[in-house]
Amino acid sequence: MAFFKKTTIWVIAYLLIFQVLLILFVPTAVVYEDRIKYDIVKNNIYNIEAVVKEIKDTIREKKLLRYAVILGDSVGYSTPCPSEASIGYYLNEISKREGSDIYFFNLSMPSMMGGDIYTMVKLLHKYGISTDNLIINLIYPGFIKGEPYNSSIFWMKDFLKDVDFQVFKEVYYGFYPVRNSDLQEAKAAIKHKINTSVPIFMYKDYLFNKSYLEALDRKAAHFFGQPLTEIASEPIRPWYEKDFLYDLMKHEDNSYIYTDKPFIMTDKNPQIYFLNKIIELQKGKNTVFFLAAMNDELLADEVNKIGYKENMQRINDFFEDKSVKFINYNGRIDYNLFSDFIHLIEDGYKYLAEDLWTRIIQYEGVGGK
Amino acid sequence: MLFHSLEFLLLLALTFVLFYSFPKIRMYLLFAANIIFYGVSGVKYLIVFMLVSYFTYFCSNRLSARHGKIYFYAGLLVNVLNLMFFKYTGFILENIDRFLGISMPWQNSLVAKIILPVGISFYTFQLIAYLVDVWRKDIEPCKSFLTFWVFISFFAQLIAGPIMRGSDFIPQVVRIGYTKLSESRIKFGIYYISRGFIKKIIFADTLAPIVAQFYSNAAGMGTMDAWYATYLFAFQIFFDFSAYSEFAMGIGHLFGFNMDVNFKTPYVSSNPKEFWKRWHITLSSWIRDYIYIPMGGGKKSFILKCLFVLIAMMISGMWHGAKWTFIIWGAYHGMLSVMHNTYIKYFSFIREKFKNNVFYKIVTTFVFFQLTNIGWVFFRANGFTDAMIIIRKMFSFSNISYNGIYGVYLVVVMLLYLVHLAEYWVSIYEIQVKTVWTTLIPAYMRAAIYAVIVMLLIVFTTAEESTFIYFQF
Repeated sequence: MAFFKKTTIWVIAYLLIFQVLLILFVPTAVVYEDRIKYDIVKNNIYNIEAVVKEIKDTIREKKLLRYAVILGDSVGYSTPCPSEASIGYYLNEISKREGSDIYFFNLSMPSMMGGDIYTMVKLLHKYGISTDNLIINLIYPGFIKGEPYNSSIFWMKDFLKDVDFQVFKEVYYGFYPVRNSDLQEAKAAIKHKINTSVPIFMYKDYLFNKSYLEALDRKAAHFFGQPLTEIASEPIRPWYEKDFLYDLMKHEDNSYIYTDKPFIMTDKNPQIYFLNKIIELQKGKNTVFFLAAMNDELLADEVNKIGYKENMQRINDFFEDKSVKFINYNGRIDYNLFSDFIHLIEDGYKYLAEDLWTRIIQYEGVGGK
Repeated sequence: MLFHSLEFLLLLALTFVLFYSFPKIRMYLLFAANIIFYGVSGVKYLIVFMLVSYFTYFCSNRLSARHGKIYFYAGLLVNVLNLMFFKYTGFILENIDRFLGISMPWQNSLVAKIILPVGISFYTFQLIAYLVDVWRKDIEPCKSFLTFWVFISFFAQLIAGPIMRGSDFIPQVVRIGYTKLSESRIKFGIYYISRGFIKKIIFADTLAPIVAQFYSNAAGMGTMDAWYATYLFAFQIFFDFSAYSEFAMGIGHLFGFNMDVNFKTPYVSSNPKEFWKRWHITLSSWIRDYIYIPMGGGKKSFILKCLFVLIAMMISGMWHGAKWTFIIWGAYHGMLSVMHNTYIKYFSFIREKFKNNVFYKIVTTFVFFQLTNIGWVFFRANGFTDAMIIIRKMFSFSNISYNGIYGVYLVVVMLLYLVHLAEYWVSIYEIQVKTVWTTLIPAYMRAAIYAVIVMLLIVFTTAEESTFIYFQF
């Protein structure tokens, strides 16, 4: 087997060199552009670790002393708008315009729930990224206990196991509805370890996207008139131009979105459990929670129900005595700025960013000059 | 269990280590590994497979007995019925309903319950070949079910071939205890497995979404799009299927087995006869030996010979799947073969005159490649209607206006064909290439290329493990 020895040693050496080169030379834009690249992360959640690592590198390279991290779901991510019309992008533009040195990183991602956000905070800590300034977006239906928010953790279960095993155990045995077999768990653990430890695995989907999928998109754009993978390929239309929306929202499957059943605001509700955990973790830091506005024109009947209003009050009350800032945007966004029941059009996110900016600069630390 | 899945790589590594660590239990080890490999796809189907295998084994050992013929036909019948039930029940019922208007009330619920066991078409043909070979006294029946099971279910080739013959493979299985860990075997093993990975991950899986895009919108295609999409599919299916066969060959080498070659760069073929000696060779030879020749083969009149070719090719098409498009694909290739036979019979003077002419070879190869592609439309299209739309598009010369994208189409197809030619060239000069590679190129340079290949394979591996096209058959 001598023949293998020399070549194998060289192969291993080259592979190690490649790993180092990847860490040093993959541009941040390949991994992160004003927000997470959802198309890549949704297919393999472990890809989020590359984003966190790149953000850490950006903070170090740009010698950023003051920065804020945005966490949340599709509203924070700014669905259905492109990255250059997302909250993070606008906040950075405003910061530049106002001559502030604060920089915003947007790590929101569609379907992120309280448990995912808690795990993200812990993951940021693991990488030494400060959460001294944190903006968190929440949505009304996120407070439902049970379907479809059983565990309040959608993406980050495997990460939670890694960053906070105690909480993972409580969640896994307390709330988690579907349990994997030991074999599935072992496979996920191996995949997680490889994906987050070996640079080529950490970056591979981003490199594949850059080298292949973007080219495929261009081809698809020629053939079909629109690319395949970019979510925001269709023009962003306001909700009132979408005739199907009214019926869609009335459909039974979507009734949970504006439920008027009373929210359970104790730790028995995984959302509350995780919000309490986050608040505890953020003690002494600048944390802004904002509740995304519902489109009260589209959902006029639903949001006027007593149960809905009482739930809204419950959410306000929950934050009342907490050591965090809470902004409830319900009733504060012009209905013309919505693209559907909760998401906004470009001008909507611009407005939200401007409003957030004016509110958070009053909040010591976050946006203050 | 896919070859490029974590589970398979673990199974392979474990089996390999134990195989060479404990030579005395090799047969038991492979017996168990094959069970695990197939069992993952469903215990019920494993039981069916084992029962059918055992029955075939049992019958094969009774063929020389007094009522041998009964055992022979019983063995054949069980295998054919097993395949028919799982693969063709839906198709048969659907066509009884369509053509005779007889609809069974339980039809849909029955069909919904039948799930095609993976590899059934391959193992059925291998079992039938074995039974017929024993019946014809070409081989001795296997005396040990342990050996028989390892022969019939060797995990490297179980799901998508090559369809191994008892005369080739059983003697290798019997000698398993004497296999030594050899340098050249390991080298060849890694070489073929790497080729398989490159073909599957870098080529086939990269082409698949583009082909799917085009074929999902048959009506939206112009002439150039239709040809382009079909060329890409031609390469996709070749890379995909030959990748599996090369995995099988590579894994075979690791365990000291020589698996049959299934592909020899088929798109360099200049006629149907050559094509079927290069494409899915073990199936083509199976069809020849167990269908075409028993029907009469070339010994009957020219008309009958052509008819037998047509029937054999239609059966080959039907073997691929229970759809009319596959039967049409088979019939189309049968017709190409008939036309070629006619050309040989009546116009052989032209062939004789030009057969050593390079230009003639290039023209005939080009023409036959186009004909092969027309056939692939039936294989890939989402139904007969779509296939006809695409064929019409190919010849309607519609929507052709100069467009920069056509240049891209041309370059992509030419590059893929060049890769194919490179493989052809390497297969011809394999020894010289190997010598140059190992003696003239220093280890550090070879290692750099290996490392780049490893990196590319990792980058191109998608999160979802994509299956092989031929797994559905």
